[in-house]
Amino acid sequence: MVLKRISLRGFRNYRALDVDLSEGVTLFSGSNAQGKTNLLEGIYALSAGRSFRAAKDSEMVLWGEEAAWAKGWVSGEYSDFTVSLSVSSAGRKTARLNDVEKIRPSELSDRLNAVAFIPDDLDLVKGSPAARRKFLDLQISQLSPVYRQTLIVYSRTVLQKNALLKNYHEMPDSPRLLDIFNEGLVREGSLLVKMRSDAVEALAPLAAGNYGYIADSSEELEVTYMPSVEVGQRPDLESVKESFAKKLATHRAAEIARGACLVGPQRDDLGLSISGRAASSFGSQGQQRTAVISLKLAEAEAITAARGESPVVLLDDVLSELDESRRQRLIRRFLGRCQTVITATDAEYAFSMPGCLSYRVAAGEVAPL
Amino acid sequence: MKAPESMVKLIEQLRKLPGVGPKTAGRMALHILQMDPETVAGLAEAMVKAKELIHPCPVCFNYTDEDLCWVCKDDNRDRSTICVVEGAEGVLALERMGEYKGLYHVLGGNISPMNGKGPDDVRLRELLERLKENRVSEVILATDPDVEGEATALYISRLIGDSGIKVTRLARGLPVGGDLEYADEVTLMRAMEGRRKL
Ligand SMILES: Nc1ncnc2c1ncn2[C@@H]1O[C@H](COP(=O)(O)OP(=O)(O)OP(=O)(O)O)[C@@H](O)[C@H]1O
Ligand SMILES: [Mg+2]
Ligand SMILES: [Zn+2]
Repeated sequence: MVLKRISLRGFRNYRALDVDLSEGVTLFSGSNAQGKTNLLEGIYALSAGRSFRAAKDSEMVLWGEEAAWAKGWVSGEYSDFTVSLSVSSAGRKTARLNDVEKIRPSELSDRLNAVAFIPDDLDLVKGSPAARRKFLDLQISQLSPVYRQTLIVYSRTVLQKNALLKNYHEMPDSPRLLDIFNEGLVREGSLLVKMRSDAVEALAPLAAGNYGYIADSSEELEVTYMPSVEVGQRPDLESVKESFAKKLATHRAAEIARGACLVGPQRDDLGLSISGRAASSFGSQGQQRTAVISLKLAEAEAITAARGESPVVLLDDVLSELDESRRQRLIRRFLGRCQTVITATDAEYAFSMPGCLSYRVAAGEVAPL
Repeated sequence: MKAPESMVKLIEQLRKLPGVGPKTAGRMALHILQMDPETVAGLAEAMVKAKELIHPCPVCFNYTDEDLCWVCKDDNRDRSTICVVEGAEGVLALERMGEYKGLYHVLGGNISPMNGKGPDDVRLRELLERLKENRVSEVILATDPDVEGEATALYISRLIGDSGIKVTRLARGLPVGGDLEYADEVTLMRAMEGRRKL
């Protein structure tokens, strides 16, 4: 799958942009605050149906405009098609396939896959478990509509159960209601646990391989699933259900006393360590960055394996923080594997590689370098 | 631009209707101004009359303007089956289908702790009373297929429990007339779970 061309209208600081992308590496360089990240955000939105950084999608609309619009021309394995997304300043989103067929914004990822690395992604190492759960959820959701739907139902059930626990002593017949919500959590949540466990099992060796290659050292990146409901490796759904139900039963009194949910996949975490030490506490800046990039690359590879087509990889400002050797190896790792779009503040990274396109970004305008 | 005060008032009132935003309300108001006076009076009167005359059926809580609703009144309906719905829209939907011959029970909502709604906030006591009095043999739970609707259905089925009454839940399955290949994965998964023996 190749994203051949994108257009942006009224998107962030782009009034009108039309730009061709390389099948290999495309570089956008420019000074700070010119629109490099905005451009990647536009590409990402065409895949995820939402921004990778804005709390509200309407933030993507050029100030003072009614709506932002992005369109991508994709050449797939079987056919060529276009995807587009418009976001109104009121936050209303419309996604279209081939300009005519309306689809849900979340369904864009069934057509165009993108994996983004932005500086905020360092939260994967440094941030709270929520950031790591979000990474897992996005990764699995891209590939599975069932996961997407199950996550929505599960989260809603958690909210209902929290509300019940908060008012436990005022709510009539609350023990019976608690049973019912717990059964709902087990039904939906166990599938989440199983799919997360399978996903990490697939990602971990890929991430470790990427890390070893980019770092060019014997340091080892270990990625482990740390579920709130303990399960063994490659668990089957029934055994997850059993452990989850058991854990809910043993924590029932505590949950009532606390007035909130205490167990379940909404408390899962992902463990990241480098040669046996937690990456968050002991990793250097470069190591942490390399770890996150390795994970993102693994995500891209997992998508390729599941889809038979590689996603577009978006790398925002990663080169400057890596030493020359890691930088070279990172680029080499991508070449010929995935279509890659990179931003950098310096054009010195403009590579003399066949098929590499290089652009200069200045104040919402893009020109070939 | 400033509109006449009575126009603004009309728009404000129309906006209280579901799904009517400022733009639609404006368009509706202009349309009303172009209708002839009798039609406008008819519209206003219909609203006032409906509100005055229509009340919940004392048995099933469906809307009616008589002592009992048209379903409860109908001697040809099968009194051994009660279909439980969240709101009167559910009755209208199932009646449009026209194949259901039993009675209804309108809960008037669902169980949703987030909205402060528990078992006492839906008409469950009334349902249990009906089950006691009547010769009901089956209760069909037709609450919405969302988290709250499912919880409400499960709760009712637990309450009725081992009273000997058969409790069934509407199946969630494939839409009729659709191709299997176009069904989304979630629908397919649910349909697979809800498969039955032939
Ligand atoms: N909705 C919007 N409408 C118009 N301009 C916006 C909007 N959102 C952000 N901008 C502007 O876009 C500019 C460029 O932002 P962007 O994050 O893409 O910069 P960048 O080129 O990635 O810079 P850096 O190298 O510092 O990361 C910012 O100066 C910001 O003021
Ligand atoms: Mg930037
Ligand atoms: Zn009635």
